[in-house]
Amino acid sequence: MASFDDFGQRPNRPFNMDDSQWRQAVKWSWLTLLGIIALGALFFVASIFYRVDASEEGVVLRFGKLHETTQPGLHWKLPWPIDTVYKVPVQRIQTLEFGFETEEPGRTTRYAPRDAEHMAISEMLTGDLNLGHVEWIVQYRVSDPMHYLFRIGAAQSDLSGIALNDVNPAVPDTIQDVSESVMRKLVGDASIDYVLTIGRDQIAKDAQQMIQEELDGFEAGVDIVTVKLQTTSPPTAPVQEAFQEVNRARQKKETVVNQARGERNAKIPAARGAKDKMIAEAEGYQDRVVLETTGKINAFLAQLAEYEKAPDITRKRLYLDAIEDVLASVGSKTIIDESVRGVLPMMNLDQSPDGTPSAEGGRP
Amino acid sequence: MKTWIASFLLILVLAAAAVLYLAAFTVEEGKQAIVTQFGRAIRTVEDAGLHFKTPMVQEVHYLEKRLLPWDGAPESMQTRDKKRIDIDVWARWRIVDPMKFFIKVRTEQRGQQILDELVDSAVRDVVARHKLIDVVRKSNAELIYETDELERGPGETVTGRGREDVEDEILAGVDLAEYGIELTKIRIKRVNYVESVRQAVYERMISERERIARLYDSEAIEEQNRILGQTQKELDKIEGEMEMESAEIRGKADAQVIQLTAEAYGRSPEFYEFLRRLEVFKNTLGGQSRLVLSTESELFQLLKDSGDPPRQDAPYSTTSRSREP
Repeated sequence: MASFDDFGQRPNRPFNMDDSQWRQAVKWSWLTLLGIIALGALFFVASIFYRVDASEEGVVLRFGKLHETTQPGLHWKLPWPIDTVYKVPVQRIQTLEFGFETEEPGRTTRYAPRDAEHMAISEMLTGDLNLGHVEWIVQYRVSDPMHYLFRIGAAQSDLSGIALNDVNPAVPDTIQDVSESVMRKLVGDASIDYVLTIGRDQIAKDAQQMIQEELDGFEAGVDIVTVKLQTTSPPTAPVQEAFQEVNRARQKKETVVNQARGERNAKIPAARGAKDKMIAEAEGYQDRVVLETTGKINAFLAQLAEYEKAPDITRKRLYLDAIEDVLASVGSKTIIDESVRGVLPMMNLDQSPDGTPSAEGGRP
Repeated sequence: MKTWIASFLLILVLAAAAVLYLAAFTVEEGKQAIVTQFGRAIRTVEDAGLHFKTPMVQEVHYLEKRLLPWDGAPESMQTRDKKRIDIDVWARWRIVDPMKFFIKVRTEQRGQQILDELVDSAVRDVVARHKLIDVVRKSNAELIYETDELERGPGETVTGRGREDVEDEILAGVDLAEYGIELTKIRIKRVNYVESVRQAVYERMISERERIARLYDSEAIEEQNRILGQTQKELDKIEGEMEMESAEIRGKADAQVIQLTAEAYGRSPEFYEFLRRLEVFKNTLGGQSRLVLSTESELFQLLKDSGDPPRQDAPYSTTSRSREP
C-alpha cells in the first residue's frame, strides 16, 4: 500500500518546497526555454539553407514570384513564407514506357505482365485498317525548369497515375498523352508491314520530332531525347503465326530456288566439259587418221616410185612373197588336182585342222 | 513606467504583424487569383508575387493559370461508313478569363465536368460525319509494303487532311469562351474497332497472310521448274552441239583421208589395187583357215608361167591328208 501513501502526500509537495527546491525548478524552466529557442534557431537555419544536387537546378520563388534559379551546391534563401524552392532534375533522363512496364531493371530485366491497359495502349489501327501491336519508349529531359514547373498543371485527381513523385507530374502526364496520339497518327498513316519491319526507325524519328513540336507548343520545358520502338508485332498469337508462316514460305521459296540453281550449277559445267572432251577426241581422231593416211600414202608413193622402175619383176616378187607368207601361215591346206575332182566330196570338211600341220614336215 | 511603454510597443508591433499577415497574400507562378468581397468577385490578380487585400472583408480564391489536362473516357461510336469504333480523346485547356470562369464555373474540377459534357458530344458529331479512314489516316501518302505481293492498289482514300481535320473540327465544335476557358488542343488518343469487329479483323489478317504464304509456295515451284527446265534446255543444246561438232570433225577427217588417198592412189590405181589385193590376201588367210587349192588355180598358173621347176618339197605340194589316201 506504498502507492496509496504517495498519492496521499503528493498534493502538498509544491507548497511545501524549501528554498533549494524552488531554485532548482526555476533553473530547469530556463534551460527548457533555452532548448526550445535553440531548436527553433536550428529549424530556422535549416529552412534558410538548401542543397541542390548535381543533377538538379533550383528555382527560388519570393512571395510566389520567380526570384532566381540556382545551380548545384549549397545555397541560402529567406525563410518561409517568403522564399520557397523547387528542385527540378534537369540532367536526369527519364523514361516513359508504352504498352509494357519494367518491374525491376537489372541484368535480366523483369517486366510486369501485360494487362488490359497495356494492350489498349499498344494495339493500334494501321493505314490499311489492319491492327498492329506497337510498344515504345520515350526518353525526355527537363530543358527549362521554369516552364516545366509553371506552364502545365493538373489537380492530383486529374492525373493518370504516372510519375506522381515528379516535381510536376502533370508534365509526364502530358508527354504520355501526346506520345500516344502522335504514335497513333504515324502508325495510322502507314501499312502494317511498314510498322512491323522497314518503317520502325523512320516512325521513331518522326514521332520524336512531332512529340517535341507538340510539347513546345505547350511550353512544357522538356527535350525529347529519344523515341524508340520496342516490340512491334501483329496483334494476337494466331495472327503472329500467320505472319511467321509468310516468312517461312519466303525462306522456303529461296531454299527451293537455290537448290534448283545448285542443280543447274552442278549439271551445266559438267555437260560443257563433256562436250569439250568429245570434241577434243574427235580432233584427236582427225589428227590420227590424217597422219596415218599420210604415212600410208607416203609408203605407197615410195613403193610406186621403185615399182615403176621395174614393174614386172617387182610385181612378181611381191606376189610370190605374199603367197609365201600366206601359205606359210595357213594352218591347213588342201590341194586338188583338177583331174581327180571326184575326191572333193569325200573331204571331211568338218574335221578341224589339228596340231600337226603338214607345213612342219614339208618344210625343206 | 518604462516596462509599460515597452509592453505597449510590443503589443502594437504584434498587432501590426497580424494585420499584415491577414492582408497579404502571395500568388505563385502558374496561378492566378480572384479576390471576393462578401462573396462577390471584385478583382483578379494574374501576376505572381505579394499582394494585399482588406483583412477579414476580402477573400482570395486561387485558380490555375497553367495548361490543364482533360482525358475523356473511351466511347463507342459509329462512323459515316457504319463502322463501330472505340475512340478515346484528350484535350488541353486553360483558364483565360478567370473572372468569367470563377463566376460560371468556380473550380477546375467543375471545368473538367463541362469539358466532359461538351467534348464528348462534339466528338460524336464529327466522327459521324467522317469515314473510318479519315479518323485513322492523316494523308493519302502511299502505303509502303515490304513486298510487292502485299500491295492491294489504291484502297480507301482520305478526304482532306483526315485525322488532323477531324481533330480540328472537334476543336472548332467546342466553344468554351463563355466559360472563360480556352480549349488549346484536342487529340485522338486511341481509336480501335469495337471488340466484336476486332476478332473479324484478326481473321481477315490471318487469311490475307495465308494467301501470301501460298503464293510464295507456288512461286517457289514455278521458279524451280523454270530453272530446271532452262537447265535441261541448255543441257540438250550442249549435248547437241557436242554431237554435231564431233561428227563434223570426224567427217572432215574421213573426207580428208578420202581426198588424200584418192589423190595418191590415183597416180597408179592398178598398182594400188595390186598391193591391196596382196594385203587382203595376207590378212584374210592364215592361222586357222583351211586352204583348198586347185592345181588349176592362179597360184599354180603363176608357178607354171614363171618357168621355175616346181619344188616338190615346197609347202604347196606337201599338203593335205586328203590327197594321200
